[in-house]
Order: sequence, then structure tokens, then C-alpha cells
Amino acid sequence: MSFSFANIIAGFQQIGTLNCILMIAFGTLLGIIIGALPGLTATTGVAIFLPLTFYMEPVPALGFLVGIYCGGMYGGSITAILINTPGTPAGAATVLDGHPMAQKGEAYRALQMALYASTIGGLISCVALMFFAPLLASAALKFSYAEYFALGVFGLSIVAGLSNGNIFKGLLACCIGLFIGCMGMDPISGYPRLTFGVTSFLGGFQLIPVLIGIFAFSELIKQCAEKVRRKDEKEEIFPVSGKSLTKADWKRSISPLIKGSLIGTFIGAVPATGGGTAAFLSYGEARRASKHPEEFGNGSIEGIAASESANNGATGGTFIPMLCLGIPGDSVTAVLMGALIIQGLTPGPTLFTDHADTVNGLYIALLIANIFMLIMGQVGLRWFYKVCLIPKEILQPIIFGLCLIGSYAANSNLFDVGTMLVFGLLGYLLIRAGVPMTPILLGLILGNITESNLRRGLIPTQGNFLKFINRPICLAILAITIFSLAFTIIRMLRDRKAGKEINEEE
Amino acid sequence: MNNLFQKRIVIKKSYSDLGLGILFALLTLYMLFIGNYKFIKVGFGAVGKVDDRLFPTIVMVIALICACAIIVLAIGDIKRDKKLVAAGKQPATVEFSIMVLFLFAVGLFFYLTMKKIGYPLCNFICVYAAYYMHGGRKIWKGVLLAGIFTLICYLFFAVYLGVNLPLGFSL
Repeated sequence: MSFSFANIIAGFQQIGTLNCILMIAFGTLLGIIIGALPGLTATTGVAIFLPLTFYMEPVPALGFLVGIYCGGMYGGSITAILINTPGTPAGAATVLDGHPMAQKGEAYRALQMALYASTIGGLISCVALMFFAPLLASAALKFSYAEYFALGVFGLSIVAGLSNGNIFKGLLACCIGLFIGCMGMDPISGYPRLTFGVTSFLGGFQLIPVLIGIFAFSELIKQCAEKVRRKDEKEEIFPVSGKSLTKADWKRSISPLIKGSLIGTFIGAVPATGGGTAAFLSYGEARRASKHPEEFGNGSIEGIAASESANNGATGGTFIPMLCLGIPGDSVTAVLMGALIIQGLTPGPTLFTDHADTVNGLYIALLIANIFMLIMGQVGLRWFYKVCLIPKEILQPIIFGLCLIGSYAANSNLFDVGTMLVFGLLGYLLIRAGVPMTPILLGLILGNITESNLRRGLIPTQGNFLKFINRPICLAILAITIFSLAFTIIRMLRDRKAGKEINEEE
Repeated sequence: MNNLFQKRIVIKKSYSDLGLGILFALLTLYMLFIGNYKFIKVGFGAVGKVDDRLFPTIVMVIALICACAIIVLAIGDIKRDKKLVAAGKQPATVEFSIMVLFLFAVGLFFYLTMKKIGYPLCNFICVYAAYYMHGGRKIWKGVLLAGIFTLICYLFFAVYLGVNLPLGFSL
């Protein structure tokens, strides 16, 4: 498997229907609006609208969700620039220079650069996806049970690193997800397992209500609780005024744009990182390489170019490990993995052989979504910010209603609504306790695959684990996993000790 | 009512971590020594220890190790917090809002009554309740929001997508 123009043509044929184009356009528009709303992220948006795709064909469904992803990553820059509040975590780096520019009356210029940088980053990462994904999938086709098991463990351990400083909470979250994934039917014997005598648990937990509960309902609860505290605070929104980008702006920004796109693509391809990490890394690199580093943090156009090209550059990159290995690049692709599974497509190298048309369609959908984002963003540049003016007492009940109907609609089963409510409440309590949600989702998705490969691989070796993992690639992956876990734990303990010493000195 | 929605439970982060660690340590110990045998029957295809209980056991062991680590770190944090308090500083806290329970209760209402009173009425009530809980006090606005949203959802999901949304009252 490798890149070929025939794949591109096949991809265009897949999305060449009016329905598909409209779904990508609608998804992109929805994504920009969701990204522009503080408190709603691309992850939340994809989770809320995932149930709608249940009734669609795979390519329009994925195109719709990819549109939300791309639009959402750009949309976060609108509030970052105008309100000093990033709409999505990936927009946090854009605040540093975007808001100072808005304060100086240059909001229009800042928003334009954010839009063009996002588009360029997205397009470059899409091309990278088309080139590298088939190559990685070809290599992964040679993997056996041991390698897939090792990849599952690697993916879970990397995601546990998204633990805001406490890897043990991240690993605990993985274990929670794995345990929940064990409930239902055993994947090898088919016997009921951990059903606790409840008939409804025989099929395990459906993915859609769990996704909505963890990412949308728990976020809604968190917003609801915070809204009560912030009722006296009003956000200042700067007007979208000022001149357009000049040739000098482009000349200064071309290098950060290209570098940011490449950094975003590469970082996005590293599992469990995503747009936020890419944006800050790119920003740091742009400041280091700039002829005017003193301008960074005070309204530098290069800063916006670097951060926005990287955060949208990550969109294509995150698909590479997700499609080829079944390990999501960030939380959004973790939810998109769920979407693939719901459509009956198993992420992994066999996706490229069994469903090559869908994969090609996905590439082109990502490409078209970026183009739509450019068109819609340019047309609506002066108006998208108005979504921030929607009162929370109008918006939050709508999201609440969508969570309820979305979780019910998948199987017309009220048990799924109960699942969504319980996971939402559990998600909120765990988030407050500092336990991240993405590892839970990943445990749920990867648990079955990891367990199946482990047991299928151990049976021929009569349970001898060392014999099972005695393969070079498997050993290498497990070694990297152990090393990264050890490194993260040591760094965590060192940071805690440093924090302790600072407090004692004070 | 506003005062009730604004109530929150504030606890020190170190105690929250300790509680989390103890809770999960107890749960995992229960599952390892009782639950795995009570709720998992070994099925067809087992070879030695490679059976239905293997993976859950591995998961529980890792969870137990993590829970114990969290307890140890939390005890360290509690000692550090005592020093902070003695130095006149405030330790980190975690807040849990009571509003959460009300929102959950509205969702539970939907779960318990949707089949009986029907989706349109049930959703109308739930969306209006959510509007009220988020500070909406203009009745006409809430009614309009809940009404239009319910209508759009019903038309889209039931009529366009064909989802079985009951009308309730044996209709």
C-alpha cells in the first residue's frame, strides 16, 4: 500500500454526492460555531452530534464529523482573539498574541491570519496523512497478536500521560475504562461476564451514550456549576475592526506557517498529544526563530500564524495512528474512533484493505472540510463572534436536550439514556477529583482488542507470557511503554518534590 | 431557589485524593478476591490461567497499585497542607456543586417518565427545567425555547430519521 493518485480520484468519487458535500459543509459550519462557544470543544461537538451519523452512510457520516473537527479547531481562535478566552484548548496559544491585537484595534487582521493559518495547516496535514498513512498501515499488516497487544498497552499508557500531573490517576482512569469494557460478553468464550445479574448489561455499554455522557453531559454539568459562580462577571468582546493582512504580514508569517503545519502534523501523529500541545510547541519555535521575538505576547502576527497552523495541522496528523494502528492521536480522534466502530469499521491496517474506498473518501472529506472552512470563515469573519452573545440559559438547555435525545436515538432504548446520565455524573465527579476522561474512553475502546489479542496469543504458548512477547517489534513497543511510564512517574515525583521545596522555602 | 443552586461542597484536594484512593482500593480488593469469582464464570476455550478472569484480574491489580499510589501521595499532600495552613496559606480545594444533583434529577425524570408521558411533554419539561436552573426567569422565553426545540427534535428524529419516539398516554 502506498500513496497513488488513483486513491485520490477514488476518494473524490466517494464524496461526489450532493448529500456528502452538504454534510461536510454543515459539519464545518457547526464546528466553527461550536469552537467559537467558550466551554464547548471540538470533542464535545463531535460527541453530541455523533448519534446523528448512526443513520448515515459511512463517508457522509465521517465527513460530517471531520467537518466539525476542522471547524472546531479553527473556531476556538475567534473567542481567543476577541474575548481572551480560547473556545477550545487548542486555541490557548492564540490568546497570547490574538487578544493583544484585538485590544489594539487589529482584530480583523488577527482573525484573518488565524483563518488562513488554520487552512494551510489543515491542508498540509491532510497531504501528509495521504502519504504516510498507507505506509504505516503496510507495516502494521505484518503485526501479529503480540504486536497488537503491545500497541494497545502503549496507547493506553501514553493516554494516561494526559493526566495533568498525576499519572496514577490517568492509569486508574484507563483501568476504569478497561473494567467497563469487560462488562458484557467475554470476547473469546462468549459467556456473560460482570453483568451483576442485570439483563441490560449483557450487551455491555453502548459507545454513543458513554461518549455523550463522558464528554458532553459531564462538560455541561461542569459549565452549569461554573456559570453559577460567574454570574456577576461579564466578558468584554472587542469589535472586529481594522485593516486586512498586508504583504509584509505574509512575508513575516510564511516561515512560521510552514513550520507550524509540519510541527502540528508530526505532534498530532504522536498518540495522545493533539492540537494544544502542537500549538504551544510551534509558538515557542516561532518565537525562537523570529527576528522580532520581543513582539511575541504583545500582538505578533507570527505568533498567531504559528499557533493556528499547528493546531489545525494536528488534525490530519491525529488520523495517522488512529486509522493505521487503532490508537487515537487526541481526544477528538478517540471519539471519531467510536464513530468508525459504530459504522462497522475497525480502525487498524485492515481498514486500508477491506474499506479502502472509505479511507480515500475520508482523506478527501478532510481536504474539502478545510476548503469549506476557508470559504465560510472568510464570509463570516465579522459575524461568527456573535455566537458568543447567545445567553447560556438558552444554549445549555439545548445541549442538555441534545444529550438526552442523542443517547436515546441510537437504539431507541431508555437504558442508554440512563447510561449517559450515570457516566455524565461519574465523569463530573471524576473530573473534579482530577481524573481525566480520555483514558476512560480509550480503555473502553481498546480494552476488547487488547484482551482478545492477549488471550489469542497466550493460548498457543500455553499461558507463557515471555514466549508470547518474544518478538522484536513487540519487545521494542513494550520497552518504550515501560520507559515512558517510568520517565513520567519520575518527572511527576520530581515536580512534586520541587513544589514541596518551594513551599518550604517560602 | 437561586441560593439552593449556588450551594457547593468544598473539600481539600488532598482529602479528595485520599477518598478517591481508598474508594478504588476497596473496590478493587473486593473485585479481586470476591467479585472475579462471583461475577465471572470460566467459559469455553480456557487454557490454564488464560481464561475469562485473566484480563479483569490484571486490570484490577493495576488499579489497586494506582489506588495505593494515590493514597500514599494524598497522605504526603495532607502533611504538606498542614504546613501550608501553619504558614498562613490556603491549601488547594475541590468544589462540587449541588446544582449537579438537580441536573441529574431532571435527567432521571426523563428516564423514568418518557415512555409514560411521551417524548414531547417529557422533553419540554426537562428543557424548561434546565432553562430555569441556568438562571432563565422569563416564562415566555422558556416556553418558547422548550417548545421550539422539542418540535424540531421530534420532527428531525421521529419523522425524518424514523426513531421510535413515544407520544405517551397510550397514543
